[in-house]
Amino acid sequence: MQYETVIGLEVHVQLHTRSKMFCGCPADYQAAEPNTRTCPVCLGLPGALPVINRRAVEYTVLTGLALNCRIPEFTKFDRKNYPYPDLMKGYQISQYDLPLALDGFLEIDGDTQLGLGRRRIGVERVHLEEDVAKLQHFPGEGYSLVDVNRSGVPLMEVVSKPDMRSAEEARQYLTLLHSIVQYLGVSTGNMQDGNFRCDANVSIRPVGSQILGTRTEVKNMNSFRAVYQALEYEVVRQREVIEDGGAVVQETRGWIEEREVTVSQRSKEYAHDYRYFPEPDLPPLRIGPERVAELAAELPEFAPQRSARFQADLALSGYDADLLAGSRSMANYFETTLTLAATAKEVANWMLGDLARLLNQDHREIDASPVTPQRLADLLALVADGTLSTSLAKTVLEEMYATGGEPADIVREQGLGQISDTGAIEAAVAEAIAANPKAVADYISGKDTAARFLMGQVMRLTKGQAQPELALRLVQEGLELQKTRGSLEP
Amino acid sequence: MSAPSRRPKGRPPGRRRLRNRPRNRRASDSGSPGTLRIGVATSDNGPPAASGARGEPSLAARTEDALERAAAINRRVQSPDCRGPLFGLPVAVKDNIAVRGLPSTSGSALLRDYRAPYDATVVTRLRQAGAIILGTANLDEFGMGSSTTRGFRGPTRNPVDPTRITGGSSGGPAAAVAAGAVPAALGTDTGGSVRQPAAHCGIFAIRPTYGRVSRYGITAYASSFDQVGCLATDLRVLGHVLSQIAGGDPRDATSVSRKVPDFAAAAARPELPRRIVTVGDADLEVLDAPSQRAFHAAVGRFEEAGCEIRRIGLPNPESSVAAYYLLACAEASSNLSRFDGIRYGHRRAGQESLPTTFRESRTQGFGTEVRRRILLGTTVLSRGYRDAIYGAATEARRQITARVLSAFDHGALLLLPITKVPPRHLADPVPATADYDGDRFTILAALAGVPAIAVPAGERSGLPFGVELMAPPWNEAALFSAAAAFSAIPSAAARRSRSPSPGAAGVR
Repeated sequence: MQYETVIGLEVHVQLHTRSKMFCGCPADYQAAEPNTRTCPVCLGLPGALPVINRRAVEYTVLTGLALNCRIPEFTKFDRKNYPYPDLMKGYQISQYDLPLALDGFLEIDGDTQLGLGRRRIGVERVHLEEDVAKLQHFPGEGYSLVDVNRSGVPLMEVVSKPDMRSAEEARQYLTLLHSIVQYLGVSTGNMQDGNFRCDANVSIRPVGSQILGTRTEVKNMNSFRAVYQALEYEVVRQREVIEDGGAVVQETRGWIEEREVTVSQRSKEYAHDYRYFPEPDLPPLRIGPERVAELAAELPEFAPQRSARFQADLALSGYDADLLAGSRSMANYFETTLTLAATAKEVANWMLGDLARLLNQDHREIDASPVTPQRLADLLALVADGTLSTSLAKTVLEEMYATGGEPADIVREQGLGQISDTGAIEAAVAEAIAANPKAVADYISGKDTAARFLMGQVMRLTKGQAQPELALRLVQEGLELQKTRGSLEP
Repeated sequence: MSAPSRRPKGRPPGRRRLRNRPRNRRASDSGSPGTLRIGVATSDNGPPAASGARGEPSLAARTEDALERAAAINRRVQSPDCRGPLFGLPVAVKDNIAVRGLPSTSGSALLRDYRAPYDATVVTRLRQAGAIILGTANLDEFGMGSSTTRGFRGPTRNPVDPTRITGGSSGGPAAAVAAGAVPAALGTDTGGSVRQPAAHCGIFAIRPTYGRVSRYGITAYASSFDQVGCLATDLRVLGHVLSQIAGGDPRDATSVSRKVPDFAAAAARPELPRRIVTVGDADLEVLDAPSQRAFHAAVGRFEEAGCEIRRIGLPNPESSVAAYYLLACAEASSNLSRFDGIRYGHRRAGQESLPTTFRESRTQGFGTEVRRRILLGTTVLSRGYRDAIYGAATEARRQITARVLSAFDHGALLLLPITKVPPRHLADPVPATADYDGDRFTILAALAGVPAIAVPAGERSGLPFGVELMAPPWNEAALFSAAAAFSAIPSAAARRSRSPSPGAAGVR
């Protein structure tokens, strides 16, 4: 029996606004001491009232537009009622039947293993709500701690239609959605920090069936890789349950990273009755077509289009173009450097090579790079005009990264300019030849590679500053001279 | 604070003639330290804070604090620095309005030890005018009630007849004003909670247009109905207070930024409406006979003064009461969810599971009526009921609102009774459920969001009787002017006896 996988994803994206969703508290709670980003509103004190964060609404509309959604003229907030210690008011202000965006889609390449080509994954809706406080549990200790800093941070929820047919397609969808929200600048989209959370609804059914099978909800996947593995696992698990003659139970399952399994968390036999009703403290919003058009004009060129342009206009490889276009800041950095008179291939190599290595070591984003586009361009110019060899330039880059200095200054201070003075190099060549008689003998007896060895020695003696091609030529000349002399001697 | 214990000799016990109520002076009036006089009077009558002379609480005062402030303001009063009409005016606020540092219990044992860490916007605005918040006043728990007997501190006695209730839920503010402890007070009106006790205590009270006054800092009962109301014996003081606290607030998204008229000036410009729209005898049958007579007399006063009287049927009385209570309880069930004992307020002792802690903290902390309304509201919103009940009630509200608004044609004001019977005795057996139908007249203004003013209209059965005037949205000024004009009309009995009316406190 062949089974088809049906996957839908619910992604919660924390919006990168300055304030929380319904009050003026700073939204940057990550680094703050517990319970220092609070006020009567996000604490849910008696008498406190919510007011809408305009930027959060705009970010959500922008995301909806980027996902090809329809933006209805009227939208409102609703109360989702349920009791839990991380929910200050005993209800969450969310959106129920009039969300900010509806009926969109994302295009992915499709799972070739299933014979699926480029196709659309439907986006059911995008809505806005507030985040809840953070609980810290101490099993066995008899208490838990509540940190209210996160309570009220704006959360955008993107709900897909159950259109994905494999873990691979889910991964593509997620990657693309992640790229879009980063590109828009509405979120940093960091899964590890909890800015980008993914829950999945998974079911299987016989191929050809139109009826949806019983689904499970899978939570606690904290990276793209975890999403992929969890979905693969869950599909196999469900198939085994059915093939063993059982039935899939509708429930919530958590992904356990260490054991690479999903584990039942609680039965979802009956959904919570959230007793949704319109939030009486907030008036409905009207987002007119004029405003939508204004926001649509703010949409940037997204990763796929930008990558295509890099490949077409700049003759970059698909692989390089995708990497450079992968994040908006990377792509912006790249294009800025290009305007400062550098060539695309050079910049791409340096950005994806040495610079990327340095940034990754520090877990830094390119926005935080001490090497600015201007400085990178300057460095590349020094290589182009012969002042620096490529390997020396790498050293200079490391210094630039460490100190934030200008390449020309570093070259001057450290005397790193490439030596192209023949006389200076000849002295080093003579020294290398004198110090390595065996290499000279090897060369004379036919081993051409000995020249390279001696060139290496010359580079060492000149602290890498000898112009490599010149050094090699002079070494070869010197060795030929040795050969001639040798043959002249009795 | 209980009624001052001076009782005129020779009068029957348990009754106070309205005319003996002390007048309240503005601090700047006589140049004398008027503010201090009131502060001293409070401490003369016995210990301040929660219990008055006979142990019935209506005012929890921070007397020392208030005295200090009064002294500081008095020093400024003598200087040319003295500002507006509310400067130095002592005001009491209902105990569900946040006053920083004061207990803000909403009359609930659950919040017995809770102190507000911030000021409600209306409190900030009063302070900005130099008014002194004397303290917080008693109420029915979370505003749920019409008697001010259901708060955890117990009942408040009616200053006019201390054996009787004040009405509610803003009974404390009404009693404080009626007893002369303060010239003005703030209450909250969700379905009549400021107008009904005003009527029972013989004072003025206004419920403004929904959105006129900020709700930030008001412990929510029913969000789409709650409004801060003002109570006073003097219409111009009432007007000054409302003008001061009104106006859009960026912290309240349901408040409206709209120019605030000078309501005191409106009170100083008595003007009767051309037409009064009121209800016919059929709708008045729910009133007891003396109340019916008193209402007819009030209508008669308008008529004799030249108003055209038009009679309509009370808009949908049964469905109004049902719609009001279903919607208010639904909103309340959600608003009160925050009281779970986790961060503040009463928490069940000992360590138990989360559901047990939630359930028992709330059961222990909430009174019976509050629990009843939460359960009712939760049911209304539950799956299977929500569309049929909450949906239907919302639609009913829309229709009732349309009917109320359509009554205001040709500059008409609506005139309705407030109460059906006089305030009952405290010693009477307590009814098992609150008399929801008793609100049938006052809920209309709350459902429609229109302003309404309670106006003293004489006595019936020896106890204060009040009527309410309603106006189209944003037209509180017409209410002040009409109330002033009405109060100036001598009653038929007074004209017969050619002596000043013993009725409403005069307008200066």
